[in-house]
Amino acid sequence: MTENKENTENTENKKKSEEQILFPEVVVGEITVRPWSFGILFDISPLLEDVLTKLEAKEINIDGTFLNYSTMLKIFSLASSGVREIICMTLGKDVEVVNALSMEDGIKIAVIICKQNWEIISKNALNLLQ
Amino acid sequence: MQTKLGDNLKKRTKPSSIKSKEEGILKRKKTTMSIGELFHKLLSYNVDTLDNIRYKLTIDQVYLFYEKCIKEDIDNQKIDAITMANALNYSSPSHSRGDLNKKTQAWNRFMDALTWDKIKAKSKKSDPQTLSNIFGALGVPSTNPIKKEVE
Repeated sequence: MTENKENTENTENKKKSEEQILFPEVVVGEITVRPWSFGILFDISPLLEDVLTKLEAKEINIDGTFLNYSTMLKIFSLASSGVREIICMTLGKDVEVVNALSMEDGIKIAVIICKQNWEIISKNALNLLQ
Repeated sequence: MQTKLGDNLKKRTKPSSIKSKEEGILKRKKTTMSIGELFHKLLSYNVDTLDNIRYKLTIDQVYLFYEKCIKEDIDNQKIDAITMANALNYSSPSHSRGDLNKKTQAWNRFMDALTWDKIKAKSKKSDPQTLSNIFGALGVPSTNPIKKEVE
């Protein structure tokens, strides 16, 4: 309980450095993952809301900083189509390209997207609850 | 009933870090800034085209550049204020020659602080030989002890 509190406080205090902001790309195989832009955020907003509503209904507790493969698998099983569309829009790739990804790479990319945009996802989820 | 996700997120975003009234006001001001203001500032500074700001720059990058633009605005205003104060001091009537000399020196120092070549020359480190010559000219013996031992 106290550990969780400490972790939450740590992530709150953790501010991204300028280098992290200017060079945020993460490469998985041949795919480069970048955090969302404002344009992409507006495009995926309805999808994101849909996915978060589904997670909330199932009481799945997600934390962007400690997100692991098993949690992501649960999310995939609950809202696979929404998550897939979010991945496509984030990467700027067609559905075929995303479908052709291996399970491991797909989950890895989804975890990276979630971690890179956790601040926005958490804010969006909070708006949903209010 | 609040869900676990809800509780967790509320904890993360709860404004518990607000320590004073001023901080609270600052925080509120930050959140009331519209996306239009953000984009307008970046466009006025020619950061990029509107489409690129919307789709090429990440959200963090947009906020980073916005902060830089605001910082530059404030810095420019500060420089204007300092220039004005220095110019007023320089142009004010002098009661003696010494006073006039002091003012001229202060103005020259100020202008030097705004000249890149002068700043560069000031920050340049002197090489050991130059330092040795300066000490020598002042009458301070400056020899290399290691060299002496070898001899």
